[in-house]
Amino acid sequence: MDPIIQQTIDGMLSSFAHVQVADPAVAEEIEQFKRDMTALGERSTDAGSFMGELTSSGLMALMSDLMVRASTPAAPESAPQATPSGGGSPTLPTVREFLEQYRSSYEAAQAHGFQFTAVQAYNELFAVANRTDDLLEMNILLESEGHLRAITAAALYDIHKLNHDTTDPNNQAVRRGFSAMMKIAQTYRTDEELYYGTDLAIAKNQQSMLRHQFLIVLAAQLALVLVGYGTAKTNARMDLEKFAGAFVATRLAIQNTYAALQELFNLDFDAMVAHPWMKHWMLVPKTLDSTGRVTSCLDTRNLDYMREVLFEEALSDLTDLECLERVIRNPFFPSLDVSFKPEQAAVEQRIQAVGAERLKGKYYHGYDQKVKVPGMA
Amino acid sequence: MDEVYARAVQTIREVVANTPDVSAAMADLEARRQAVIAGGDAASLRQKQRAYEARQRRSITLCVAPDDAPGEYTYEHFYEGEL
Repeated sequence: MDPIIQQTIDGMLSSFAHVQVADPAVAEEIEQFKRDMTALGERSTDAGSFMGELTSSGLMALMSDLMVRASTPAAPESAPQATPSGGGSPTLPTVREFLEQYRSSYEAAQAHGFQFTAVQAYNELFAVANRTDDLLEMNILLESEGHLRAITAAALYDIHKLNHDTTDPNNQAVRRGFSAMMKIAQTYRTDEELYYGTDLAIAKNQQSMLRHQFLIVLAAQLALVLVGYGTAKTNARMDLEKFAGAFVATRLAIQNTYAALQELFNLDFDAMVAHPWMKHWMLVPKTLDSTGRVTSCLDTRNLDYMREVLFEEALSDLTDLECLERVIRNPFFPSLDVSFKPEQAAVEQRIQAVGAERLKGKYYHGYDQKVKVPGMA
Repeated sequence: MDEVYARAVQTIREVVANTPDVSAAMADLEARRQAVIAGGDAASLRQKQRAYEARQRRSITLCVAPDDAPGEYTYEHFYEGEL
């Protein structure tokens, strides 16, 4: 299970640990609720979808209902009300005591280190105890001011805000998606509105995402043929008889690829290098941390190599043989990437440590380190 | 809709009609390969390649995304033997 989801479930379920449940039927319902929550957590692919499903499935509303029933044993099926004085009647909790049921969830939200909006929503919920001593009036305030919905909405907002802030700002399509979800979390009033708004936002964002990813493919494709040119040239120089054909074919591939970029997408080399996101992908990045903000990549001076190869050789009037004989001014800087050289793992670890240092102090990095996402650096 | 369909069909016909003859392209490639081999000085080319490789340095570059807004990445270079 996703560690963020696991933490969220643990925080929510811990609320029940502080409640004495006298009614066996309610106790059984709580156990079933725990099982349903765990099952939802298991089948959710990420925290965002988990929070959305939590609300739209009714589990969040059920939790509030169970908490009310568990903490008011004398009147489990009705809202708290004034108790006539006299022997035998159970003592109802005060407003402050009643609201304490949310303390565990509040503390879990505080401990997460990113649920800033949710913490504020809990504070406003607890502040209701300063405004009335009457349980019925408290219920009216909670409902009319939407305090319980605000807790759910804030949790939803915070998880999307964390995802938004963690994402590389140049990855604009993904960021825009999280922004849309944040806006929905701030404005929805009913579960249906949340469900519909979420679906609509996902559909709208899909096209934007595809276009953004397509740009990555174009950048990577151009980089690939230009780097491949160096390999083909090296091979042909070392064994002319065997590799001359491959060199000529690679040069043709560059000419065709670049013509397609210009004609079909109105792109050129300088425009791609001037675009931080495309330039980044021309350097073949490899993710070094779970936020995706830190990567290792080719030396940026390889862009000078690529420009020279493209304009002064591949697209030039030089013959194939003249290209092979020509000395490139900007040498290609090969990568120390460990993918094929395990003995260089220490180099990558050192780079990872430097990268982590660069993110130190960012709240999203602190949370990332706390949950230690499995399978990621 | 019929007009759109007709235009699509016409486009496909034009693309097919203009597709270069694969065997002609292969023959051209072979001619260029033969020209390179005939005119090339293998020993000189190997020498140039070794001189070129001597100027190359293995490196790894650390790239960090900008903090809050879209913009340029920060690139830091580390070279073999310096880490």
